[in-house]
Amino acid sequence: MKDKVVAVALLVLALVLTGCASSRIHFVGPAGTKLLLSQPKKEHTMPVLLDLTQNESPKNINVNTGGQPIRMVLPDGTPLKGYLYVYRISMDQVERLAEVSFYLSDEQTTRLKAGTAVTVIGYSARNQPVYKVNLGLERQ
Amino acid sequence: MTEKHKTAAALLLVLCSGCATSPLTVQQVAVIRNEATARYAFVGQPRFLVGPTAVEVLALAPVAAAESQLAMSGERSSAEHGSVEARSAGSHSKASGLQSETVDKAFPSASAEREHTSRMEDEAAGAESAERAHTSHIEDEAAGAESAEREHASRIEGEAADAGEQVLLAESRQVRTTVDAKQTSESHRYEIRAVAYEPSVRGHMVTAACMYSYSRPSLKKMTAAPKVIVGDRLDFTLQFKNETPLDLAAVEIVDSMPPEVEPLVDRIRLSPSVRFSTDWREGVLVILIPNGVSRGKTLRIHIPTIVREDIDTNRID
Repeated sequence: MKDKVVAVALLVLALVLTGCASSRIHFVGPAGTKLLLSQPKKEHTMPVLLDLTQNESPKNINVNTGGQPIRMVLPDGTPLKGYLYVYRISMDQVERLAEVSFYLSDEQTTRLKAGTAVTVIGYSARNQPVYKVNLGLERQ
Repeated sequence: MTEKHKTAAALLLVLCSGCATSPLTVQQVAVIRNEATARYAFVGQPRFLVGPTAVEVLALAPVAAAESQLAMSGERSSAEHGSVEARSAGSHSKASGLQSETVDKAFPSASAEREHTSRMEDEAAGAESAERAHTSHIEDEAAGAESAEREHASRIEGEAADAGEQVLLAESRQVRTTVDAKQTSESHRYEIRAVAYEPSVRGHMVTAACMYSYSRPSLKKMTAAPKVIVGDRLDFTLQFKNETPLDLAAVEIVDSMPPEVEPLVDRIRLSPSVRFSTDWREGVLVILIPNGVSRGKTLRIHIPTIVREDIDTNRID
């Protein structure tokens, strides 16, 4: 009986110590853009470096179901909404050093304002998908 | 043969001959052009435009018997006219053949001259071909010599390349060993080198790559048939595809119905079945889908219409 309890305790400890794998994403810009994530529900202002929990299978990169709801407000006040997918990948030291970033250029913001949905996929240095963000204009 | 047999034979004859009907003669009376647009939004009232998409259908009307007979007689007369023309053309060719014969008979010296010229041409062609054969023979010899030289050169080059490959292999092995050594001793430097190498390969501003793609919903209009007879039913189908990775909050489809057709508003059907409302006013049909269309979903709207019989025939394009 005692052995069983010890085994279970060790298993729980191992699970706790292992934790949930996360990916570090640098949300670069446009600078001053407000970023609201649903899990954890917190507001950030770009540029910001975030460690996000990996929760999607990279096999489903072409599938647009699920995802974590995400909201952004551009510096000019344009609200955007969409979904964030962070893929379950194991990154080696090289991939961890190569910074994975998110950036929206003027072209993308213009297209978003015209009603086009923009998809941004960030790849690691070894060409593994790290994240995917689908964005659309919320209202104007 | 009894009466019964006679009746049966007559019935069989009637059945075998079938009911003969005269073919329906139709003529084009109008071109029905139908155009549709859609509006959508990710949140709130629909505002972004998709389309327009248009479709054209030929409206046909049965021709009256007298008119069709006239048309048929006209065709027959034109066919006869054509055959007469063909006949006259044949006679003309025959006449031209005769003419050439008569010319030859009238001027025998000219025909002799023509023969002489052709013979001279043949002789010249023969000489030319002989010359060409001689030249090709010389060229072949030269080519043979060249190919031998080339083979020799390639053999030398191949030997040199082998030697070079060996050198390269040796170099690569050397590099590999150096990298391995660095991995074990100075792994950090190796990593930085690898990271610095990645952007130049992918050509991006950041070390890891970032890929962008764009998408919008699409609208397509279709009909069941390219031609329709007046008074018949004509079905239009609108296909709205949400190709974006986001849900659409509301979709509004505006279909400008042409005056030649009358939509059966009560019979409009959506597949998959979703809540919608219709508004038919002054030739414009508005279909509002208040709950929008989910990401990746396709919505088909079937609009049945009746082609009016009193079509304005002046509208033929």
